[in-house]
Amino acid sequence: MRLLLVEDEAELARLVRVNLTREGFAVDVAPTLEEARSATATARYDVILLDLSMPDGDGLDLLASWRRGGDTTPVIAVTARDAIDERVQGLNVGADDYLGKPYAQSELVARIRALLRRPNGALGMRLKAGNLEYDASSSAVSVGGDSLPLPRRELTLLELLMRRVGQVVTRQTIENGLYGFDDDVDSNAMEASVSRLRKRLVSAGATVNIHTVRGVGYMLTADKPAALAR
Amino acid sequence: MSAPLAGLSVRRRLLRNFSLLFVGTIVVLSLFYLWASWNNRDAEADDELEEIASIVVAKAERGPDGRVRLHYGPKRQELLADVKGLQVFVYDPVNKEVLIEQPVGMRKGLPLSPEIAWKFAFLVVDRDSEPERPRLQLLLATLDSPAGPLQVAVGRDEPHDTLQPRWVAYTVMREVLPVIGPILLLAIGIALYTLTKALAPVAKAAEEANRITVDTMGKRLDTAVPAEIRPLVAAFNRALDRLDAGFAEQRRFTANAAHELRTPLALLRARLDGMGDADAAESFRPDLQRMTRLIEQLLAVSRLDSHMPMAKGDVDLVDIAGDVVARMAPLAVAEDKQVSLTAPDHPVRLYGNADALSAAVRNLVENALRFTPAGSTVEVVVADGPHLAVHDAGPGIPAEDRPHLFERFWRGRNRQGGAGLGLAIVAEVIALHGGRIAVDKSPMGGALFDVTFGAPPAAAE
Repeated sequence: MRLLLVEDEAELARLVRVNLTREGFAVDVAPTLEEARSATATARYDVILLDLSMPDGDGLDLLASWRRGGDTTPVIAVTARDAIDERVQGLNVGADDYLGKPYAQSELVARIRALLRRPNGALGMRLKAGNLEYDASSSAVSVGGDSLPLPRRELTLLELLMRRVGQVVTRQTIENGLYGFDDDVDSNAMEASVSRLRKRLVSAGATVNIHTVRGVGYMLTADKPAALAR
Repeated sequence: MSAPLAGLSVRRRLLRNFSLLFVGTIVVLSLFYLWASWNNRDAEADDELEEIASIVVAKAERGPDGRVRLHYGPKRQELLADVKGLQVFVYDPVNKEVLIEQPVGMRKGLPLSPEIAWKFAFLVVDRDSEPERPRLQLLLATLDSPAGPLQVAVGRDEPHDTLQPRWVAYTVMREVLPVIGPILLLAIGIALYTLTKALAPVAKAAEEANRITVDTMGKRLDTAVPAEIRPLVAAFNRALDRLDAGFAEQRRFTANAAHELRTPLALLRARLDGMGDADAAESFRPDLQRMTRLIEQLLAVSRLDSHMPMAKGDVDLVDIAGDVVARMAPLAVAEDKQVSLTAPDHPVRLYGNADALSAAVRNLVENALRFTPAGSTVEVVVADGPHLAVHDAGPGIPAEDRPHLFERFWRGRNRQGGAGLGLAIVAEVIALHGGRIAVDKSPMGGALFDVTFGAPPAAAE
């Protein structure tokens, strides 16, 4: 997974690069728009993190020129400026996501992974939460090293949750992932799937917890005492 | 004009001054006319006597018996009866006959004798016998009538010893008004017409000025106004220039401040996230979060104060609330609390700015999460209206604190954390969207923040 980080603050770029490298990404840094332009001309990136306010211009212009040239690389627009109007503008020009500074590294990683999932390429990534592990390439789940076989629907559900550990996955996203767009989804069916997955994880001794955020979705977190109350 | 009149309408002032001129002119002219008439009163009185005399003999006729009959009918008699103290004597010199003597015996004491062939003469006779009465004014004449020459004496009490109100009124109405009135009315008409035409651009400029808001910057008043008003309009436009420049400066400052403040925060955050020593990192995190929150709030206040233009569009309140709940859920779970959303299956549409509304809802939820105890839930409820409510299970808000709750930097007792800006921002953002926020006690035991927006405009702006 190769990422391009377009960021003029050298120290911030260094820190983000270190963090992302630790998550298993290869990161190139472009401190100016000019270098970002030449980097995209010579290499192919899976995701580009684009700071909109660069010393040599507006990142949105570069984004627009990529999109005009037919480059569909997913782009996360990053800015320290006010989101009030730039967000709309950025998403119109073709940014796939938007992140305001300061952002948490976990948030950044989650968003990158969410974008990577869109084109269904083999991601070859191991996702971890507590003692729970999910290998995206083989779709294998293990708890504390012991394999935990799961039915297809619960496996897909777990993958969705594991891709955004600590973040809420909306019911809409789960519906789309589990049932496809055409099926008429009974909301009780989703609740039942989640409940079955919970039971299996608890009985396998996984140190994770699936929280229900009523009306919105579900969230998987690590290292919480087993949520018998929930 | 003196200060008390400063607020008076120019039109009314003009009308008032013209009215004064009108009355003044009439008074002066009337006085002049009256003075002239007064000086001339004898001549006028003589004219009147002459007229009476000619009326008396106008229809005289000599009958077949040679005698003269005067034939003046009841109408003429009535006319003559109106003249104060009238005395009439008519003598036919041919028949040597007195035709009228009214009152009878008037000749006594008067220089009258049928034998005299009267000349045309005016006399003034003092009435020695009756000193109370005015002097007698007398016409003696031989007039030609259809019946031949008749000798006539007409007398009356000398008029105009004093000014008679009726005579004054008559004179003014008859002699002064018809000449002066139309001219003055015409002058007032022209003045008011001119003034109204001249003031029309002023009314238009006022209307334009009324439409100028912080969202229509760069708009200026039309300077196509009368030369007298133009300096005012130009000065107003220059004042707008200065205000615009001030706003633009503040907006620039806010934008730059946002960038400059967030960049080191981003750095700090990235450093913290990448720290190997998780415990040490965690100890910094609350401070960083508090700093971030404060800076965001200060920037939001600054943005609101500089009336930063907001891109508004069709937004879905269910979507916004759902997004906020999803973002807040991890923080809630970390504190062993919950957030939930109750919303209809269909979108709840609103015309507004998604980010500003999102920040407002987020502030309400953050606030509720701060006060709701561990193990409890913060409930966000969206309903048609558009309507949004945030319930918590905290201590609630005492009634005496409620009026101050939305003031900037107001912090109630027992408040930890916030700078007292969050709810002020919420209230301002909601007001900018034509909504109202109210505080109440939630059925869940804590506080209820209740937001009602105006009905969604079908196709706004």
